[in-house]
Amino acid sequence: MKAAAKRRRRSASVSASELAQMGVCERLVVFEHRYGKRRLPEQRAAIERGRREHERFYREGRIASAPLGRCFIATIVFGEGPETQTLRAFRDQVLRQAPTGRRLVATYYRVAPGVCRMLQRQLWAHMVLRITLRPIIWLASRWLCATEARRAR
Amino acid sequence: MRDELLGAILCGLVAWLVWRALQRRKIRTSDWMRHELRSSRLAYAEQLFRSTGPVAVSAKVDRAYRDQAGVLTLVELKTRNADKVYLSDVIELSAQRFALGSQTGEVVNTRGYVVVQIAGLRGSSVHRVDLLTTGELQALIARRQTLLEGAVKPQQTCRPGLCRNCAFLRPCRDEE
Repeated sequence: MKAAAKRRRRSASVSASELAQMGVCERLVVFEHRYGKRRLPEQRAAIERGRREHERFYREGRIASAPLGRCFIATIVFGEGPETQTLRAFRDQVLRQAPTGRRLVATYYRVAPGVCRMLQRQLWAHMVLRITLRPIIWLASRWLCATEARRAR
Repeated sequence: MRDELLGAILCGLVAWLVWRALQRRKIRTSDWMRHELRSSRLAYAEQLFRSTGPVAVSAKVDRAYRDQAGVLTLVELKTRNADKVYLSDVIELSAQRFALGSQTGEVVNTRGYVVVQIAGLRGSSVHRVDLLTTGELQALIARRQTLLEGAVKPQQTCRPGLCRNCAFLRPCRDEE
């Protein structure tokens, strides 16, 4: 009785992967419905590999979509000035476009809050960072100009 | 003067790191993200959706990107031994489109992307696919129902290679 009710409930809903099996083999769909899922060892290994890749894909997606507009250190050091805007544009237009760049951005977001806390206590460090960041900002702006020129061509 | 020198050294180090990262990117031509998705933002990742109706369709979306017009585009990851896209991928993405559209009421692109990650290789390739219409998907759901009820005889796959790796090979042969 319970099994019949369960089967009725199951037949009233279908998952995307169950439906996708229709594109593989109709007999497989019927057999799986009749006997349940069966997997060969190599299929189980492939499923496990797929699961790991999905986890990696998910993490990569979350890193790539980290909220735009945060640039902690530059905001503390320069405020909402053109320097911060340049660094944001560099992050979004150059770094976020490459996997390594996205990892750099993710690392920055992990490290930056701690650096910001330190900056709030050590005001002298603002000057050091301003000096350090200026050449980087100059390079970033040159890079952005070159990228835009390439796009225009 | 010393501060500026230190700044220049640090700047050089960062520039070298960025340059290396971008060089690597040039080598990795298989970076899958297509140009048309670059301006879109990731809206959903690994999220489950469920449609309403007589037969509910549930689907876990790998990724859905929202473009500037608010249209969602689906991306599905597949790990394979060959760089191929199958009908099952199109059906899966179509079911995701139906479930996502039904639950959220948002517009979902009629085209989706299948990212194929080839086993043992770095990088992946991307394939754009046209999805099934809602009518076609409903017909497929109805066909599945009739198969499960035993009202029609199920067809065998036309890909014989699949049978070799099927756990139901013996009962399938017995039924022939």
